[in-house]
Amino acid sequence: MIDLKAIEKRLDTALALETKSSMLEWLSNHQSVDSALIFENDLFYLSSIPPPIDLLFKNDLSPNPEIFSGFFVSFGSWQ
Amino acid sequence: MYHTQENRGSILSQPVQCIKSNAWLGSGFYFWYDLEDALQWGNLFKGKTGSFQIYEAQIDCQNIFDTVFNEEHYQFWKTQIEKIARRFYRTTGVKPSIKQINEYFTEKGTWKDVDGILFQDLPENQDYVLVIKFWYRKRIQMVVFDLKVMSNFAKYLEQDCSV
Repeated sequence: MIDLKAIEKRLDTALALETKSSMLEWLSNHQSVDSALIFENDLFYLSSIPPPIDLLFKNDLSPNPEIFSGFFVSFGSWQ
Repeated sequence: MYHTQENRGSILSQPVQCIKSNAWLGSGFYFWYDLEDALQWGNLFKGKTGSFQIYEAQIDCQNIFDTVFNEEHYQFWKTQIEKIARRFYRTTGVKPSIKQINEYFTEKGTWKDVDGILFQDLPENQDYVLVIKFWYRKRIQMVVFDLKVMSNFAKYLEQDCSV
């Protein structure tokens, strides 16, 4: 049986200690990769969401420029 | 549950731990609930060697945080995520990313007493649903933090990539 109240208490205690500066510092130390495009196995996909292949590629499997513009390209793997 | 890995010419004795910082639910051993999602994952992302393997395992879900089928867990999960995200946004003006939310959970010891999390998203790829633009099925995955809850891990199939 998972103790939800204990989990909530831990989170609430942690949040209660946060200040604007501590949160900003935490965010800067945990930079997001949300907008990174990943290249692996000859496929590009967004790094932190399930790969929306049907949006990223046109019917001939060439990259969809409407989706690809505005992102930077990185190497790695989502999972 | 199913675990997909690229075929490196050997048979695994246990699942491979995902340690990528941007993994959905943080570091752990990932499993698919449905075989079709394990197959899709292999075809799309585990094809470096031209083929992939799928392993089957049983998971003792007694201490798994179940956001898919357990209504209480789902409501709790949603409330905690929104509480953290709202606090970050109101205080800093920045919405946290999925990576940041997961790292916050981890660093604050949120899941230290649970053995894993069952989570779902949607199978967005139209090749893997039978009705156009109708998300009638969940794409369910589980992250296991401690392998003590896993048993009978064995190779289920090996297949050439079709993509």
